[in-house]
Amino acid sequence: MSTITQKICLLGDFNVGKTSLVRRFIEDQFSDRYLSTVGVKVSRKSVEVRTTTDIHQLNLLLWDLEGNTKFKSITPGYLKGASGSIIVADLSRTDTLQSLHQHLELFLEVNPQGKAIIALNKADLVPSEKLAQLLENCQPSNFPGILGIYPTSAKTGDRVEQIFQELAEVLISPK
Amino acid sequence: MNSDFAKPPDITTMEEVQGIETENATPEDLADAVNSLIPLIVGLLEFKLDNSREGILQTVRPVLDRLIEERSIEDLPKMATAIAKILPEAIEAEIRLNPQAIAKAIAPEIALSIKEQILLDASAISQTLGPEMGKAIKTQIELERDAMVDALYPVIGTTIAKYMVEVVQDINSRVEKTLSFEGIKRKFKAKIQGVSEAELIFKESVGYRVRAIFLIDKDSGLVIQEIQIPGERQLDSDMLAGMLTAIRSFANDCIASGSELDAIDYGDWQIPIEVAGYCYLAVIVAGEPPREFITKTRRVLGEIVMEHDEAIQNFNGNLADVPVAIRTKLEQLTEVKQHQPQKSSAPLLLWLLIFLLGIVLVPWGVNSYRARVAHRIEQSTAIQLDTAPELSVYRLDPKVQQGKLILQGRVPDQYLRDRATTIVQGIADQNKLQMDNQIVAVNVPASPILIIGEMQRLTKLFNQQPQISIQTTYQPQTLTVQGVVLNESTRQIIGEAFKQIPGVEQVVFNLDQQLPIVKQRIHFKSGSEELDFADNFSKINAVKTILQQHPQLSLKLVVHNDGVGSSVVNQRLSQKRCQSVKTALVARGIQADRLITNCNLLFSAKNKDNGQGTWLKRYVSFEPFIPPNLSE
Repeated sequence: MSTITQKICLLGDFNVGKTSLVRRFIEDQFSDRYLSTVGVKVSRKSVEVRTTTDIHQLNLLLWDLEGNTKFKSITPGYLKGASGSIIVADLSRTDTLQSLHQHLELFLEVNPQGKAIIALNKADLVPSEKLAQLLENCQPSNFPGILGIYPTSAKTGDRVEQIFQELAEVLISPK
Repeated sequence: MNSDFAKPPDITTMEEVQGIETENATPEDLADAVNSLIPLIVGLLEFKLDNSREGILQTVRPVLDRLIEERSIEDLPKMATAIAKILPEAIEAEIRLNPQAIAKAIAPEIALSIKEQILLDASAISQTLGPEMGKAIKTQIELERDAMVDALYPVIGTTIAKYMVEVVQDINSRVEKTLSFEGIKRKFKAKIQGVSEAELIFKESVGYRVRAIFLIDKDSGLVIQEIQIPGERQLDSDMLAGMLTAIRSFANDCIASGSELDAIDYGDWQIPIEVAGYCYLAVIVAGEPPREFITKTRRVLGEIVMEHDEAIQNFNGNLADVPVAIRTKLEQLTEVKQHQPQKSSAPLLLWLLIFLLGIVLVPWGVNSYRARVAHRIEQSTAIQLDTAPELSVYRLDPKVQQGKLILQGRVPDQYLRDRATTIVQGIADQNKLQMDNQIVAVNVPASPILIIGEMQRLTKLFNQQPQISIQTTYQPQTLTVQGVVLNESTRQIIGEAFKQIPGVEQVVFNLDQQLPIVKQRIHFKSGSEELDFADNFSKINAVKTILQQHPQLSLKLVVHNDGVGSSVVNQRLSQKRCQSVKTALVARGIQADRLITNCNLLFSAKNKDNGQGTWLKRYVSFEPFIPPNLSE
């Protein structure tokens, strides 16, 4: 069993729930209170990844970046050296969905070999019939180079673990 | 208020109650009855309350106590449940209405109950109070700063005092070593850095220690290699590296693009950061790391990057792929932290320096001291030798070497050599030195002047004796004695005496044992006192030669007359003739005192008739003699 450490960035507009996703993933907790991240917050979680031949211990260093606003873009320096990223949008705010492309491009620009996964967060806030429609608009085919698009909810914990796990498995598998 | 309660109570029910009481029923019956009556009683009380509060209180009071008591005994849980519902509100209301009373009531039990709670769950109280403690202390400081200072002083004061005592001791020892190599180095350092020496001493005393070292991927912030000092609280390297990297990125992007963050100060901690290649090195240091440490950090990182650049560039988060050599390199930095090697290296250097100086200076010092002593001894020896007059003319070199007093030089004889030995031996004994006399007594050829002088002196001395008339000449090594010595033993004495003269090897005698005979006679014409030079020239010269050959010899002039004429005439003529001969000899350079004239006596020739006439009878003859020494 080997221990490997990888850097993962969380990208997305402000208040889409990046910090909440991390908190749910690491502490399995959720709070309704909105705390804006200043700069960056680094957290860590170890996950086990089983391949056909081995069990790997993967240390995920999660860089929860400050969400960008129209006044302030994210610092590209924070993205350097990241193996993977979770790009987050808020299903209840369509403008955040539109800027997904921009974040993905920025990430792939800095890390051409990087793996990205898209989390459409706050799925709990959207009625199921509307959700289906929104998901239809966001097809993986629209985002070249991503692993997948998943509706998530940090509040309920829906698919949170899953996206991190999927990313971890991709990172561990030989390229 | 309910309208039912407003009505007057049913009289029959009241009577029933009273009836029960009067009929001496069992308490159980009574209680049952009361229970069923409670709603009624409440209604009644409410009604009565409106009408006559006092009256109703009077009525109920005696029975209410008993009622509750009995009810409690009968069914405690039920009673508790019943009261519990109203208890919080009751307390709340009471606190609102009468806070003092409640406080008074609860106060004695609070301490006890906290204690009890701590017994039950030790952490609960501290968890509850913990978060508030900070605020409480802060508030207290705001309110009563001095009181807090007083309260904390015994704890913090002692801690600080203890720490300061250690620091001061260290400072003391450093100040004591002011004149050490380190001290002098510090003085220079203080001058160069423009800080006070005290500050440097303090920094040195407080010291520094490496707590952890991280080699971090510059971009991703992943830890490539880490060293944490055992015994320290282990740091979360991943998080720390991540945050440091984020801070670096932030600083680079937002503050000063192109330049690097090279250190982070955090209280007593310093995190010097050195960047090279694809990584950077962060060292967590407590205290003030010295300049040399930073330089060393830089060097170590340089070496790592030079040797393992590729491995670092390809680092994918797998620690197993990191070359072990990197760790070995980083461990060099923790060695410094001990402060010991550095500390000991300075004295080591110092000792080495002292040792080297010692090697040079000690022999030099001993040597120069010895040389001084030797020189002093040499000088005093030279002076002593100089004060001996017989030695002062000779050049004698006293030398002190390897415990020996060596005397070199040349003297003409053994006597002077011994004389010098005696003088120098005294000095050598005084200074506990061995005497090494290398003076050579040379056989100097005696000065001819001295020999001749001595020879002349002896000659003169011998000639003063009777019967001795000698002349001496000196050719190198040979002394020739000529003259007359009548006595054989005297001749031997003379020979011995001359041999004593230094430089005389041989004495050659050329002596007569008899006085030379002077047979010349100076004849005169009859009646004449004048010297006939034509006749007597050669004779006078011959006499002169004899006298010159024998300087000690004197001559007595004896005159003879022919007996012709009166004795008066003859006597006068004899005297005159004597005088004429003397004058003639003196005229030829003979000293007058060597010629004695004894011409008053008349010697007449006896043989009157030998056919030769009277001419032969008139003459002056010479009798040689050696006169006694007149000077003595």
